[in-house]
Amino acid sequence: MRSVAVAGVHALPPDQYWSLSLGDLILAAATPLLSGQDIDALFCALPSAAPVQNQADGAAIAADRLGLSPKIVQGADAGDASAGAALQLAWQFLGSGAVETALVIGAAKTSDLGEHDRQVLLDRLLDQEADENALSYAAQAGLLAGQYCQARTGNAERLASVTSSNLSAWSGECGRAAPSSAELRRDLVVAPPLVRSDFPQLLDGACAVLLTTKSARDCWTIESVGAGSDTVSLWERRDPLAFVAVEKAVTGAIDGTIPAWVEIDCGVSIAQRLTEDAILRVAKTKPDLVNIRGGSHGRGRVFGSSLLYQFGDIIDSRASFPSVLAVTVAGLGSRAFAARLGKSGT
Amino acid sequence: MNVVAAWRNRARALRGEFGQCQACRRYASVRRTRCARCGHTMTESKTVPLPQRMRAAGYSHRHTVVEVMDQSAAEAPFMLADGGDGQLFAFPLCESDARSGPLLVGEELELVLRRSEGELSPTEAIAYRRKLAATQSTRAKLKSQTKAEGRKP
Repeated sequence: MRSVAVAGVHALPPDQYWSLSLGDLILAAATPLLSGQDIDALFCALPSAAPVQNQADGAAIAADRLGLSPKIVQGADAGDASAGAALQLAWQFLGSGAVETALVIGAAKTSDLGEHDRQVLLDRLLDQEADENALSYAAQAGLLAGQYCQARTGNAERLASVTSSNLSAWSGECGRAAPSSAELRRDLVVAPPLVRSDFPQLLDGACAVLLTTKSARDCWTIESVGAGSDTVSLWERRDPLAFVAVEKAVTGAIDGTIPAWVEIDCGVSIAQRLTEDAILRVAKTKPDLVNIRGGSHGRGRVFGSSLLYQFGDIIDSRASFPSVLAVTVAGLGSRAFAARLGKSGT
Repeated sequence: MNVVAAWRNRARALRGEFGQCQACRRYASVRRTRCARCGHTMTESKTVPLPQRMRAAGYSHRHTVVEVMDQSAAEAPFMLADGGDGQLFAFPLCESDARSGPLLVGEELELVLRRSEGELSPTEAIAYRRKLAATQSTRAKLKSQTKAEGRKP
């Protein structure tokens, strides 16, 4: 495989961009990366385009708005982990030598929806044919969290500590005080034992990552991308608490050792806790650093684009780690993608 | 609502039937080539009725919609229940037991057919779905417990 370098990342901070459309968001995120670049391939993660904007083939919309006509224009759909699928495609195409420069875009425009419908977007990550019992994503997450507390003889405090730790990392960025896990437990109950703060807020946003095989010094390179999948129906899995998809993705991305810095993106704190457990089973040791800026809990979650925002966090950071593992999980562990990044020249 | 899909799945859902692996007896709510637990081929598997009685293993309810604070009106309780061999099933809990949801964990529940929640127009047919409900003995046990503790049932 050829070496794949991250040549640039540009993102719109997650927010409610009521005056911007999905196409506008894509333009704003990707345009700064295009000057002087010859883009061979465009990979897009726009999983909210079909259900929210009634727009099929969002990749064609992105190519149109950006005035690009590369050899390859491809959309990737893995629900809220779609950026992982787009990145895996880009890495494979670049690594094989089929293309030299690729642009990966993730974007979501969800503020047009009410809160209930934004949560329905998450419900659609469940197996709709198996979902004859009409359980929502939040309710399933609540049941999973209850099972976790029973099985691990813990309590909801252990889940709140995930959120609290993420918010604490984020507060370091924006200079505000973060709530403690005890304070978080007093938030509105959403799906017992989970509270509102356990679910990162879904916001609008767009992020573009420029990847290239042209050699560069002192930059981050994507060393490998792993992926894994599992039975989508949570309760039909061999062990619902195992998050096997994460184990497979991480095993596929590492070369025996897990980097000391791990970025994790999930739709709910229980999924992050189970992802951490799955990584621990593979690595045997806990990472030194998880979510340098608090991940989606801190900044907010752009549906399907999180992995690209994690890249932004990694590149902007001055942390002195030679490598990072970025993991994104779809739904309640039905799919996962893991990318290992290394700093070239270290 | 997808009317065609609802019609397609109606009979099986009302009967409370799932596919079953012939090797490990694990139930599957959708058709797969292989069992999610043991990997045995499921192309020849048949649908069988779900266990009629289950042990409640967990409780939760539908999310709060914070924008409209729509918690009490749309609260829909759900139970996780053990079908007997460790396999868990998640079903809605019937409205009549909604207030006892957390107290039902560990108790015996039965699979019943109950009216589906949601507003209906005068021309719409009433829809039914499988739910879990406390058995008579469970209700009696909870009642005697709440009486002993001096609480309102």
